[in-house]
Amino acid sequence: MADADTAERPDAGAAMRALVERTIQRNIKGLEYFASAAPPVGLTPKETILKRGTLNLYHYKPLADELYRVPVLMVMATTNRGYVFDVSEEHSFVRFLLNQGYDVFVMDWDHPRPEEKSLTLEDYAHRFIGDCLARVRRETGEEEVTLMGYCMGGVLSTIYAATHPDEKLKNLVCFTTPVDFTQMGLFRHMADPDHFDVDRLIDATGNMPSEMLAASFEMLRPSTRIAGQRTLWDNMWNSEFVSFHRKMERWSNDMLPLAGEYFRETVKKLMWENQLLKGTLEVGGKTADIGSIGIPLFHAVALHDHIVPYEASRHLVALAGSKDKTEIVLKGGHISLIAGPNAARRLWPTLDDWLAERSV
Amino acid sequence: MAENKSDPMDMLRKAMADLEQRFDEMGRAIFGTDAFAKSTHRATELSTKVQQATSDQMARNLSFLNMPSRADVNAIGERLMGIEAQLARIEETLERLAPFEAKAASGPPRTRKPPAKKAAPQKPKAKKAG
Repeated sequence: MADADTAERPDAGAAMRALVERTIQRNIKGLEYFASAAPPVGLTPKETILKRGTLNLYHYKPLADELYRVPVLMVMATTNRGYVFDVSEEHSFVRFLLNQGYDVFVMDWDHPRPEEKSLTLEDYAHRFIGDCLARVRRETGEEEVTLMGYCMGGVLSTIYAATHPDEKLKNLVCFTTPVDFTQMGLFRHMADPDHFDVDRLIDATGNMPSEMLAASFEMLRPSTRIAGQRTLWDNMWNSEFVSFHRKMERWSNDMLPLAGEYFRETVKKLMWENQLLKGTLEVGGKTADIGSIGIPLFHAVALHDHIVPYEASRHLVALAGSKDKTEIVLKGGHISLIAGPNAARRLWPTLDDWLAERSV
Repeated sequence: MAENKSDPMDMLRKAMADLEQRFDEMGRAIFGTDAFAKSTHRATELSTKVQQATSDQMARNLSFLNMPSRADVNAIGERLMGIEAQLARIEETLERLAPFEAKAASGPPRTRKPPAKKAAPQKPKAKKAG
């Protein structure tokens, strides 16, 4: 009998020793955690080559001796900072792309200034992306560029590609990009025109405050903060986990306000009228018809995305007119799809496989 | 996830995760009601009205003290933004008239070729559309 018990739990003693060891480490490192400064983020060498109000365009220093011909322009979501692409040396999407031989440019955002409340969807999806593409072409001497967008950055990239079918874009790469906004769950419900007066809110506040945006994101998973602290405490003995957790926590708390008119248009045209899915969205006098996108398209979505569910994003590849189009569903959530150890194992190499042969 | 029988803390961890999941479900059920959405927006509306009234009063006080208000500073900002936009348009026009020299020669050569495909690699679930 005793033998059977031992067979069931062969290393109970070792487990107990590990538990005691981890508890001691947790306490020592817990003290270090509270005493140390926040770890730095976004350290891959780069140059800001365009600054226009809320917009920053970075050019990362190439790390490979030989580059692919086609440069990559990444468009960050307008609600968050672009350093999620470059969290740390070992968890940097940008560094991965640089090491693989891509020439990487990133469109990142600062807090919109109060006077930038008048920026519209057209400014973001046409003017900013158009200006950045022109600057990338000038820097590289290459006409063709791969446009790559994450979340709302993917929506802006899709709108740009759909309204500029004749422009020399080489590829369109999107991550968790919503197209059917009726499927955006709680976001759609909270923005329902029956009880949400977006005009009154934006007329009073100018720009959409980041605190309100953060609260709406938290409502999607109310236990996020508690669960995060629990996981942190549980893994406090693991320095690598703690360092990455702190960086990601800093990023998720570092939300940006949205330019007032841009937010108003997003709510009315995308949330209320679902114009992107219907193909009726007009930006800069041009209709954003996803069917007119003819370039190679890659769309990666996350299986457990609680922010942009698959039902909201699945139409992008289905609607696009491209002959060469790929949709890939990967394990993970909205953020772990693009950043962190899971992304390094799943998305990044898969994307590299797809993009390499389309970047020559 | 497989249960780790050798870790005495695993049961507690699992219980906490279940509790958090139930808390999320409960939260979503409450936040998903019309009553919650209406009351949240009413509260937001009230707070913006108070904010607006405070800011109007502050603007009157600043005007009395002969000092610029936030609206005045914003107006200057808007004019600067207009000037920036005009400069960008001029830059664009100049570029069309006399294109800038590309800097391609300054970096590494753009001659990289994709690596040869390995035989039958293990891929995550992907589907090729179209």
